[in-house]
Amino acid sequence: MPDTTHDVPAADVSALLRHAEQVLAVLAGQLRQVVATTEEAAVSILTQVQAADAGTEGVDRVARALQDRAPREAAELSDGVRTLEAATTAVLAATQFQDVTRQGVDGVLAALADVAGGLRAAADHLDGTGTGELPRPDDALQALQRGYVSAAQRRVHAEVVGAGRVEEAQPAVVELF
Amino acid sequence: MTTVMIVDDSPTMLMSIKSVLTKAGMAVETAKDGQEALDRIKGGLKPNLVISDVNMPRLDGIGFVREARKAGLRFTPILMLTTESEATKRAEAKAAGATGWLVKPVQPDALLNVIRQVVPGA
Repeated sequence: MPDTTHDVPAADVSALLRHAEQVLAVLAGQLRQVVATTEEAAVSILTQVQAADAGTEGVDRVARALQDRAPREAAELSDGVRTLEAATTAVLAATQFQDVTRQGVDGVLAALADVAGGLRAAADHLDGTGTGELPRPDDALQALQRGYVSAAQRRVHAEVVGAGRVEEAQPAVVELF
Repeated sequence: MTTVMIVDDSPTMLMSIKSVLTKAGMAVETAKDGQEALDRIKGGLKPNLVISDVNMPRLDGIGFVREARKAGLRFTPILMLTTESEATKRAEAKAAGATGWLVKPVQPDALLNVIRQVVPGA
């Protein structure tokens, strides 16, 4: 085990590595908090949408009941209900992005844990307490790649590691087998 | 009435898809992962359609399809609804017995169109 690394005491390098590991743990905790908050917000929005849907059903019934006596007012009510239904349908589609984002963040969290493990192993070796082999430099990147769940994640990865832009065919959103 | 079971570990997805289907007049059952869905099927639940996520804890979507096909849902359509768009994963799902593949986020109209294709009369 080297005592120094380019004249920097190994103990100082080890302390830096352990500090970086701690920073990653804090970042992971912050990310988890962000995901939990967005999930709470999405669930709250969906609860309101369900309440609005229940309300529009009542208004729709009133509009149908009024059709013979006040057709113009009934038509206006129905139009209002349709507008509100279109809006709530758009919200239902939009809230799905919360789950798409959550899955992306889950991948980032797994990668942070991998990198933190690598830093810990390196620090242990510098301190002389390391027992296992050091991870290979590209282990974390490969693990990251294996964990991807969307084309967008693979595209960003290729761009960042210098593999260039991935021009993959846009997959069909719906495919029946 | 058409009964649809939604399998997803995301509360947001469960609520969102459940709202779309309920508004369309369908009955909805939910399960938070493949294992819970499988247990409910083994317990006697017979939905007309299953919509399942792929990436889930305990039992993932593709494993669930494989097991569900053995557990009594031999001919029930099972649609995968997932962020994953990779061709190899789609092929894996098809081989396991899935009926179709939808990429999140899916527009409510598109979802209902697919459901009416695989469950006539829904």
